[in-house]
Amino acid sequence: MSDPILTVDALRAGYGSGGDIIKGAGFSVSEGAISTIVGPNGAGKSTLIKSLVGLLTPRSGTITLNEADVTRLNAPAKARAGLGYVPQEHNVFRNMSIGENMTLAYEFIAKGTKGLKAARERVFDIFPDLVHREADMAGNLSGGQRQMLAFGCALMPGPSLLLLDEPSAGLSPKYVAEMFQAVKSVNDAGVSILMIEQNVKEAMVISETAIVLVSGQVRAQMPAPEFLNHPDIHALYMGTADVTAPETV
Amino acid sequence: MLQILLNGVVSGLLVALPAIALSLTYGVLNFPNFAIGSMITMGAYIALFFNVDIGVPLLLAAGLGAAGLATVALVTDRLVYKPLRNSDHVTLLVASMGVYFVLENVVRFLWGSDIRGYDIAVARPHRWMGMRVNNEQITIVIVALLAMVAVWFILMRTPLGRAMRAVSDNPDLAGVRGINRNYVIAAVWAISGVLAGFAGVLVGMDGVVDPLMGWNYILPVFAAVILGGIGNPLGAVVGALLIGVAEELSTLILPTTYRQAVAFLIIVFVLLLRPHGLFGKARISR
Ligand SMILES: Nc1ncnc2c1ncn2[C@@H]1O[C@H](COP(=O)(O)OP(=O)(O)OP(=O)(O)O)[C@@H](O)[C@H]1O
Ligand SMILES: [Mg+2]
Repeated sequence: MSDPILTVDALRAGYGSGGDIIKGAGFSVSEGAISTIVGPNGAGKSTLIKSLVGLLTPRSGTITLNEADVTRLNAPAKARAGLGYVPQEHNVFRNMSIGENMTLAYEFIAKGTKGLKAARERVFDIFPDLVHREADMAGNLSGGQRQMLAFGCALMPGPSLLLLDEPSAGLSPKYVAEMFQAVKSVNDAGVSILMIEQNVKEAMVISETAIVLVSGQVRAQMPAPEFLNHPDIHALYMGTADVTAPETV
Repeated sequence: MLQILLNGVVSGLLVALPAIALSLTYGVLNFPNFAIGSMITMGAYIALFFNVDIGVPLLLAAGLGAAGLATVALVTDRLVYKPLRNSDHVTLLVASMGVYFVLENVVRFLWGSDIRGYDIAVARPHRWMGMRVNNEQITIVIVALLAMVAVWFILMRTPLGRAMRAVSDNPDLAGVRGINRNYVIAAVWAISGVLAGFAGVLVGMDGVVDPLMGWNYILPVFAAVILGGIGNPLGAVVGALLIGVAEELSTLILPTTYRQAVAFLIIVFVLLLRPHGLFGKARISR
């Protein structure tokens, strides 16, 4: 397995003055791969990703991206360090057009508009649905189209690691397949991917690694095929199965 | 009737600049800045100081007033609002009330409480289409329109404007997009300081300069912003014009002392009937 692009160690995070939601999570994401976080609702998957992208400041632990310690960086700095992020909800600016959303996704991270056109073309190649619709308001898009736009925006500045929070949630079957196809082709273009998914079977088909998060802790990290063939996924979720410890992966 | 309409538009334009300022700061910082009243007053006085006490031409003095007030707004943010950044909006509203009184009293301390006026030549009003139009009104219309066009341009056509709209729509997503919230907040304070500064001078030209001049604008400015949809700067302009005209029309049937009541009634009715403002729709989520 190749070197990790992201390493998370003993991470603790939570909201406001509340208790820890992420309770000492540790795992790594290998460069060039698709890794998928699975786990029950409320396990803290979204919270984990929010603390990775700097929307929540970790209370302790470390986050290493491309061999640099980025634990304490805020969201804009993390974005500039090469982290892309597609939130689970509220992931486009509804009162802006598609074109403005795309420009905005580029100009502050790339610090200018040089290369904006090329970035736009790359995104249009992956999401042809967006072509010729630049003047449409993002708020008027269907759920699937909005998800495509959000994904496209995250790609605009050319991140080295892309974090996707349930990219296929709420999509019709046609869009689900299209979305996973898009994830695959972005990855083929060299972008490492860490995503959260509830459509576990479809996700594992394109993934290299499965990370199981339960109650704010990583229960297991294993190759995706092994996860799919695991005799008792339910037990994995419940944390009762005898699984490989993360360190030995 | 035309005369009343004209007067209404002029007083509406006077309300429009601070209303835009209030709306911008509300959008980005999420609290209604009550201190907008004394910001108007202070802007008027800084310009008055340069114009009357030092003797610079009013246009330049107004620019200096606007710049001075932008500085005051930035310093206030640093000292008062920044430490409270993540507090709820009631706390911030109360803090801005405190700022209101501090600024008003700084004005009284520095420049006294007397009624004063700018150093401008008194000219006879022009006659135009049967209406009386004075030079001050013409200046107000020109300056207000220029300021509005400038704000529109910044908001809709520049990266800074996109960043401002982004932060006001979804601060977390804006952060993920590489937008530094503190930079946007500083820009918004500077812009609202400039707007309030020019508004102060225009209000002072239209009437007099005294420490309570901004106080009288708080109600109509809030009414304009609520009418136009909170956090929607361009809606606030329409709201301001409607308030100005409504106030002038009210003088046909009510004593002028009740002018302020018009703004208040408009606030009450809008909140009851159209809580999201004239143009607002309940925001779509997700
Ligand atoms: N903004 C917030 N403020 C306070 N608590 C929150 C916030 N967002 C989430 N939580 C809490 O954090 C816990 C984990 O939520 P999170 O959204 O991370 O779970 P998840 O694994 O992504 O769930 P799902 O599969 O439903 O998306 C939950 O108990 C939730 O109530
Ligand atoms: Mg989630």
